[in-house]
Amino acid sequence: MLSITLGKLKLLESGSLTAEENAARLLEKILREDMSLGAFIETFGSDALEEARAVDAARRNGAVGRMAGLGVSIKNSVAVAGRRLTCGSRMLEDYRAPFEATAVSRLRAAGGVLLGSTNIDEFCSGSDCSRSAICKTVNPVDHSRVPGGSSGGAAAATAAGLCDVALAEDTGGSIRCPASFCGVAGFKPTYGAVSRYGVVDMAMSFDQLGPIAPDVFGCALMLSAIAGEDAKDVTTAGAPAVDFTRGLDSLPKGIRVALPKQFFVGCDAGVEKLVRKAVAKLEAHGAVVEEVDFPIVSYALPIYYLLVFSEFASAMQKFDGLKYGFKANVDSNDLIDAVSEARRQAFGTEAKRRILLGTFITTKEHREAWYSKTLKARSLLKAEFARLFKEFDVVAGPTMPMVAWQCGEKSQDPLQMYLADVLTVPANCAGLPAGSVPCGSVGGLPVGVQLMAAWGSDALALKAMAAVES
Amino acid sequence: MAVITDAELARLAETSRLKLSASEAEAFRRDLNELLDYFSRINEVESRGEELYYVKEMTAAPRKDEPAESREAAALRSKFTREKDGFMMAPKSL
Repeated sequence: MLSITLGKLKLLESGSLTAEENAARLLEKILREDMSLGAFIETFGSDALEEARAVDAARRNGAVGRMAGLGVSIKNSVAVAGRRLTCGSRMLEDYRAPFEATAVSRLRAAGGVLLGSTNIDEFCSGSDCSRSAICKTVNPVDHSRVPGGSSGGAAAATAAGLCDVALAEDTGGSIRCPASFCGVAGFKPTYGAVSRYGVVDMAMSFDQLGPIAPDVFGCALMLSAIAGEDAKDVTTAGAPAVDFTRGLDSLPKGIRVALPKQFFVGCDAGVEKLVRKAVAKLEAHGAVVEEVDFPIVSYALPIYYLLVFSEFASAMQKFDGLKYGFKANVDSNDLIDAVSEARRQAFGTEAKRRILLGTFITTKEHREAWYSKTLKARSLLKAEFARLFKEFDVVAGPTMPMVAWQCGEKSQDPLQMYLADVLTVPANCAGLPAGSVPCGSVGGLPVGVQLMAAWGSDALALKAMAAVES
Repeated sequence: MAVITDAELARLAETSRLKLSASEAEAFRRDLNELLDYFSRINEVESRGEELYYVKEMTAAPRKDEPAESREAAALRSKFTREKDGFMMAPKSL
């Protein structure tokens, strides 16, 4: 069976569907359905159609990229030149990007047609897309449920068929969580695999761009377009630009898969059953699966959050309501007073909470006990992962310990929201590639299985995902 | 364990450049104490490792020392509140 993405590509390649027709249909569908879904912050209308016509013209001349004619959405923390770059925050509500992210330029170069930008939790600070100051996104599978976050708009748009593929970003699960909740595939590449130039940072040592698509092929296709070195982002030094779709359906025989038992602690029973069934599929592909004890992973959540608070507080310092973005109407001659008032007005509660926590952890008196200690624990976690990957090729488990929760269920309880990320943050702490693939549903709500691989083994992680998907 | 007092929260808010109302301050003080209490689990981890700021070592070679046009300067300048003759104007602050 052709994957959805491959099927669409074949239609476009054969000429039975032009890029313009595809873009027009998707834009029309967005107009019709997004009122109730809230996945998009802005659509690019006539610009998208113009881009699509240029792709059609290029095809007539015989030279098009691999993604030619596919409709792409962009997470709204990634710069599209001249377009709104809100980050889901009042702070940047009317801000327009003065330049373009490298990944976006590469998607255009591959023939992707940019349809619009998708909703996110404010500065990516959330796991259910409820913290956007711009609009509310719901889960297309069940509108009373959250789509997951922070890339909730990207996953909802993909699951509802409002775009062919979505560019998203993952700091602690922001691609994989909504992919799992909405029933689509999502992939967070190795840290440094994709340029972050033009991405508004939330926590710079964790942030990574990646794809959300209806299927693993779509993820591999988009990753092939955006990955590789970029002189504008030092973290990409040495990053390979390869075709991740090659050999996607040929999982090497005899790979060793670890199933850490800690991944199932507190996991919903229905989710666990489906995930174990999905992992058994790897065995059918000749993999050897072994349950392992991996205690350090239980500490990934505190490691992740304590460092994210610190990096977040630092990243938010540039928003002062003076230079650009939100302008407060403050009647004060005192600079500190004016800045503090602007930040009070423009930041949401979770952003403020993270700024306060990050400031606390990094103050001189508390640095040693909190920040320094956590940085050391992070190196231990990275080393333990390296040791695990000496014995195993892939680490598997659930993406999320539960299915999508009800809208509003966790909005008032920060700790409960953080705890939901327990299975996705380990990959970010160690910079490892990790993806989520749908593996069934519980009570009609999608469940995702997560597959992680060693540093730089993005191709293998994608192959394992494809094996589970098949 | 870490107990954030009203005075400490006020200092944090000032350092963070955040004005907080009395009710906000009370809610944040409660949240912060609860969260730090949970995250103090970090103390159970052996701290024998190095401080790891980045998971990847940056090994990029410097680019060639050649003059080039500054990127997107005009577009960036257009984002500031007011601009005149290549100077950015910010609100009076002293």
